[in-house]
Amino acid sequence: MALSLYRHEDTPAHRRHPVAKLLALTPLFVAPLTFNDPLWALGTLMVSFTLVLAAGALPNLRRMWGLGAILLVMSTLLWALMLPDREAVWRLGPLFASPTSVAYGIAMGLRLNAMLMLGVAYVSCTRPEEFTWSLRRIGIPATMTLALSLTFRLVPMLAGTAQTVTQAQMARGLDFHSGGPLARIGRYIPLMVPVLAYAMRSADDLTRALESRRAGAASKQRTEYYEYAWTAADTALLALALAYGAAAVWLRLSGFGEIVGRM
Amino acid sequence: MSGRGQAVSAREVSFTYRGAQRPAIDGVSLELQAGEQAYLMGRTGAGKSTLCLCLNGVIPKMQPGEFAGEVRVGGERVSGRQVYEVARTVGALFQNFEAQLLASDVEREVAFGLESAGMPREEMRRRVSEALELVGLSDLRGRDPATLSGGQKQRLALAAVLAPEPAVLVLDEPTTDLDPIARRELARVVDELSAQGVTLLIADHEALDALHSDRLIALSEGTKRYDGPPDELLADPARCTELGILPLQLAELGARVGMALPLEPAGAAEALSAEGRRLDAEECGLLASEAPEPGEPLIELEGVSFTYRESGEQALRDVTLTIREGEFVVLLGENGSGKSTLAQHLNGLLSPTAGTVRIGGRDTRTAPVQELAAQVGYLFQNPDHQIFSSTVREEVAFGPRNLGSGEREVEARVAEALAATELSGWETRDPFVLTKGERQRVALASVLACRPRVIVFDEPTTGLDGIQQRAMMELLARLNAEGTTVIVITHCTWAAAEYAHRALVLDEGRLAADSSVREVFGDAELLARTGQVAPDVARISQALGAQTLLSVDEMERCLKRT
Repeated sequence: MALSLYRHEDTPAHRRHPVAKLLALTPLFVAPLTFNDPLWALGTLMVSFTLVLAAGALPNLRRMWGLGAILLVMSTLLWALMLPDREAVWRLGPLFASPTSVAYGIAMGLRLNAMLMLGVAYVSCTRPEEFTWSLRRIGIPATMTLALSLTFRLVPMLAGTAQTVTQAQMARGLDFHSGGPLARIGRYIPLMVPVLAYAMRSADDLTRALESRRAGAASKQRTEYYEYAWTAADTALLALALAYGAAAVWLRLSGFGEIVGRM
Repeated sequence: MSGRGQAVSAREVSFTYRGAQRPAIDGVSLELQAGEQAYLMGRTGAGKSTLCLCLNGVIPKMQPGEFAGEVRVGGERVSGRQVYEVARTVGALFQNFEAQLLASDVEREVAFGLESAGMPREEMRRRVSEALELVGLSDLRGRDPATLSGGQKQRLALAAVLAPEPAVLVLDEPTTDLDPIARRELARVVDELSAQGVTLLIADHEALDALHSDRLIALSEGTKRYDGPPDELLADPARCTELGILPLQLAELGARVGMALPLEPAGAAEALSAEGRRLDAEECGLLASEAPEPGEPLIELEGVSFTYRESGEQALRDVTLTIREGEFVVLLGENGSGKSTLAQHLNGLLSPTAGTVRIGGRDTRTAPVQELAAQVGYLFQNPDHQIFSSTVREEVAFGPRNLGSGEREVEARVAEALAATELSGWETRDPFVLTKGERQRVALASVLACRPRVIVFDEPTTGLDGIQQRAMMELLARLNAEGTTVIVITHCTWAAAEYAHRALVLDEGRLAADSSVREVFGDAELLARTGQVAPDVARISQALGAQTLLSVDEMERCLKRT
């Protein structure tokens, strides 16, 4: 199992300076957070989707379509039923909804999906090492970025171990799909015990290996194997992202893209 | 990286892990000169890994327990110093090499330690290239380590240790996942490093590799039992067995026929001829006719291809074969040739992207999990990927319960499986405190309890000492003789030659050969093309002009005086 969602491709997004990509993320995230009108939210979603295409991240996005769908449905339902709206036209006991609350819920679902897409685009075109490299460049200590790298490393490692353990138990006839909810939960014990035991042993081994590869000395004298050159394209990316974020904020402050005012 | 004089010195070193009843190593002393190459051997649990951890400072710095004695490397005391300081001088490769990998591509993985050491970029580039060249991974420098085969990962972990060019290298079982050619290549690298003045301590179970080193140190129950020239100990099969070392085939043959043979094939055939020994053609011919008759088809693969979705790598290409009842089949091939992928098709863990796999006539794409598990048992290389119960009995009962057996039936199956794996009486023991060899037997028992018609075993001998390896293969041979079809993946050529009837050789996902083990180990061109090496006895029998013989037993049986 691959250790990250990074896709080994050579798109223009892959070639951008890691710091440019990291800094551009902030204004890119601001835009979807700005609007609560579903049409405007759809606009930011389309921008995010364009970035997914530019980063060659469509296969990763496909893997996450279920999560995106859940975010959209749950957000629509929750906001539709929970948004305080005196003009509610549909009532069921303590629950009520209105066309505005439904539209707001859809906008929130689209917002979450736009941000999910940005995240997928970013991790698909940026290696974990490039991310931690850019953090060090903006002043985060090497020991902290190392800890972050280990998180990137351990999560997929656990997923990989879980996959092998699942196969090993299925090979002994364990069926995850039959029986009631309690029976199904019980079936995860044969997975959890070996995964956790293996994870603890591996974490121990990884710590030893890291120390033996001088990771403990990292913050004092570290050098970098890769250097990234800042180009005009990186400046353009950052400028575009800032302009996009600023335009979104200006539009919202001018009264565009909102169906519900500040609550 | 070279130096002169004493490189490593351990005096009266003892260590007891926290909570353990007895010391893992007890009063071990050893000195290694700069450029010396020493092998550390002995049973699993003899204390080899503990001694390795003492040399690079992990013990006592990072491992709770009671430490006594003194370790010095390059004249400096190890205990009390940070592990990353000791790492300037001592490079260490650990047994669990997969846990050592953390980068998103091969090149970055090797560069990690160099970055931490604060090395200039140009120097890093040179060292990364040299280390990858040394271990034969130059062509894979852009690959994600997670997508490499086990053997490739092991070589990558080694490259990461070699790149900082430490004066002392401690390698704990560096060849467990390597194919025979990669092992040979590693031996060449080790010799090259020694010639450059690097001091090497290698913990391993392979006597043939140790034969070429300067020195062999054998541990038993935490104490040093031998420290001297490798050939002196390895020429004595009885003493090797006592120390948990699988005897060299030629040493054993020599002992059986009552003559001192060279320990390697070169010159052994001549020595036998000079003593008036020849191989009896009639007796050799009888061996070929003794191969068991296979039964009905059990597993049928037709035009099977498989591509991993994540990496896009095509691991199998148009494989067609049939496994028949009662066969003992070995899957051979280089690291990354598709062996594990093929094996996982044999019980439906993977479904082909093209072609069909039928087990007992049922297409694996549509057959339910339990039905496949009842027919084909699969054992992963690492028993810890399946063990979860607190007693051996519960662990072994897990499979039959999943298959819907009643409690009385489960009890009967557990008893039968434990008896088959010689674990009767161990019912209430905790599997987590057993040795790896014992845990592997528990895993095998838990699969046997499902009464499968076929057992697929990925690397049954990995991580076991020589004596445990022999015991595991004997166990599989007995199960096969009792009617179970056995399929193993192994890089252990002696085990393949001695126990299997039929060999499937994979080469870059294609089936390069499907014939008897005798034919495969007799085909020099095929072996060279697919990165395999024939066992010593096979090479001697060929040098004596006879057909390929596969074991010391066969050699002894066919050798006659002229």
